[in-house]
Amino acid sequence: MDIAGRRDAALQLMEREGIEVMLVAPNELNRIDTVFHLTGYRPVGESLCVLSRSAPPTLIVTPEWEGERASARAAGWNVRAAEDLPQAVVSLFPSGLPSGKTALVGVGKLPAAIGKKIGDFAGADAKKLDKQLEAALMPKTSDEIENARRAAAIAEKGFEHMLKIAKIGMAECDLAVQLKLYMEELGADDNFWLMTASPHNRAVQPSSGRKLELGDIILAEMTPTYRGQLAQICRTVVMGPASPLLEEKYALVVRAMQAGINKIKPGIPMGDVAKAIDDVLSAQGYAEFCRPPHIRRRGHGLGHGSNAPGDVAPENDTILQEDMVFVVHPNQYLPETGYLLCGEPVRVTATGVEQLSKRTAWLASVPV
Amino acid sequence: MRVTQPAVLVGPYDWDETLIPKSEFEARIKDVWSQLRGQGLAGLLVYGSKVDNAALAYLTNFTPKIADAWALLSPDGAVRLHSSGSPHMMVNAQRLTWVDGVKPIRDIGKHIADWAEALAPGPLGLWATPTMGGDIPPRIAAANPTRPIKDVNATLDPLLLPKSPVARRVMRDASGILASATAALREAFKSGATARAAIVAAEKAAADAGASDVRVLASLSAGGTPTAIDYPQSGKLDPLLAYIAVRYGGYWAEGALTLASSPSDTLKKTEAALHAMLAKARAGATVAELKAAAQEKLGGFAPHPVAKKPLSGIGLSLEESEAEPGGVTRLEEGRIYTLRAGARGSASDNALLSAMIEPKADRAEVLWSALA
Repeated sequence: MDIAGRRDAALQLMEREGIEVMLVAPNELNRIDTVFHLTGYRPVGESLCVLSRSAPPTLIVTPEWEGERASARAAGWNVRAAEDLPQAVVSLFPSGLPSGKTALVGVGKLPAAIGKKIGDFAGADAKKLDKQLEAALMPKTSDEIENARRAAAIAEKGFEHMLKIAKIGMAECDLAVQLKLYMEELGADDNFWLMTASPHNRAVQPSSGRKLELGDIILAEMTPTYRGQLAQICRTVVMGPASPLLEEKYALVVRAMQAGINKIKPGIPMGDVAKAIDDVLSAQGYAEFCRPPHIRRRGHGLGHGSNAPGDVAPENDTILQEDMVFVVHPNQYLPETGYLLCGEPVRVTATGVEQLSKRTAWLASVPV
Repeated sequence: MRVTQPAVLVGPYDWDETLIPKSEFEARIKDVWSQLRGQGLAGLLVYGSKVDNAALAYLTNFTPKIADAWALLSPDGAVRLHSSGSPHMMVNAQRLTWVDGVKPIRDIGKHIADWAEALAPGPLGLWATPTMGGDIPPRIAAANPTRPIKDVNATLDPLLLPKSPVARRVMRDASGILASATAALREAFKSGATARAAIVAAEKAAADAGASDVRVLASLSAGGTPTAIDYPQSGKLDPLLAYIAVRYGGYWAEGALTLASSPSDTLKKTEAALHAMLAKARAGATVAELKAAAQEKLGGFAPHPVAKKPLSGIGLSLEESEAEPGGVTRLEEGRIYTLRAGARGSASDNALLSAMIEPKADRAEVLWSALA
């Protein structure tokens, strides 16, 4: 599938649902940007895709000065740059939207005042098709798969750089900012980048001003985007020498992850990947740590437009298909060592799995 | 100015008591309740997200780094804070604020209902940013059926406009960081860097100078309107139009500049326009006066679309909400503003410049200027 094919998939969904016009908004706060997913344009202001079965697709962007970039990115879309999003929608449909044949996606996530105006204009009988559209647009494009490989390479280089520059006394935030900028120099355009440290972690968190100390275990969840496509690696670093116990437990978590990755192939439910990870850890006596509150999922989908195919969790019965891209990360809390991160981005191939990162997680240490 | 929104805020946002002491926040909370007197509110809900958190940061210093957060204020001055993230993630969330005992958000409607049990009967006020998603208020209302939710933005937003001595000091510091970032951008441009490399240089300089956050927009093509450089780029752009926003201690500083190896007539006229605006700027000066001063210098050039609004207030938001629907009408002492001038010539011959000012009775103190 390419991005034009994705637009066609949306139009086919409309036809199946008896919809004439569909208005699609991004959800900036949760990083699910369906406008980007459909058009290739990542908005800075409020925006809306207008899909119609009887007219060419239109992308409305705000503010007005965003027209140039939107036109450059959103090939095949008529771009309208406006200051007032609801007004621009109304001007496209001077006779109103077709009653009972209009669908809304993500409009509830728009700023309240704007979303209300658009919702009122669409009418109370407008259908909500958020889940259906996400499912219809699930397959990755070949560009996105290549971009995921590039993003994974950037993440791995970022991690190598981290091992060179991390030092005792450095604030978590300062290290995190330097690495974000380094990955940006390598081509990353955004980064869901969590990094935190302590001798016994309970979770990975956004960085703070806490200064790194000898014996700290740094948890690094690096998720650069390349041309909007995310790839994630999860890594663990010790400040100073690692204890034999930590080495042993980290090897266990990596072994569990590998069991999950080895399970991946088309036709199996995603839940089987999570179960394969849990089985390895449970066999070593950690069954109670394979459930909430210690762990909710063993990975997740990767994409700015969609979390498909969803979480790597036992209850996820999504059947894996070729070209699905997600991260497998056991990210396990163990009472002896605290939370440990390891995770690799993968693609489902015709017969199995492609790991998008070149080197599998290992327990790294920074000499002090 | 609209800027790109990162997936997660990475920079240093921990509360620094030496920068903004707890007493400053306590005084602000008193002001809030004083403004709300007579409205019969039993409590106040304050919302902020990583995209916009002016009210939340004003009262708690809290800037959500991943998604959103709520402060729940009782009339006795007590504050409870809920942040997105798991319970174990509250360790670092706690460092962002002076409010003790930051709690995770599971179901904010229920958290509010539980908290409100100890309050007197009556409605709850809601002070939220304009960016709050439309699906949030109905969820809160559904969980709190006996307590009407009353929008108090119009009452409380004006509190964000005048800057206290502490806030003015922080904004001066933020302007200094902006100066470091713009100097690095100019240097990178001179050395022939691509727009993207120049942006990274500016971001590094801002980070080294202590910025919590920095957002940079730049031309995609020579003379193009500043926007997100979302794809890799090669080659130098000349002229390069750029916009930099830095955040420090919760407060923003911003600047627009035009870099050109040989300044065009458009750029020279835009410089003259900004000079003219700065010469006129003082407490009491009207936007109409400033606009006229700029237009006279711009001659027949069309205004740049980014400079259509020549003046806006800046502080905990990049563009503050004004009482007047059209925006700022008159400069006021005690506030900080951005002045913008810009012109469109032909093709790539465009220019955009700005300055940050603090109006005084007889002049404007310039905190940062593209003319420097």
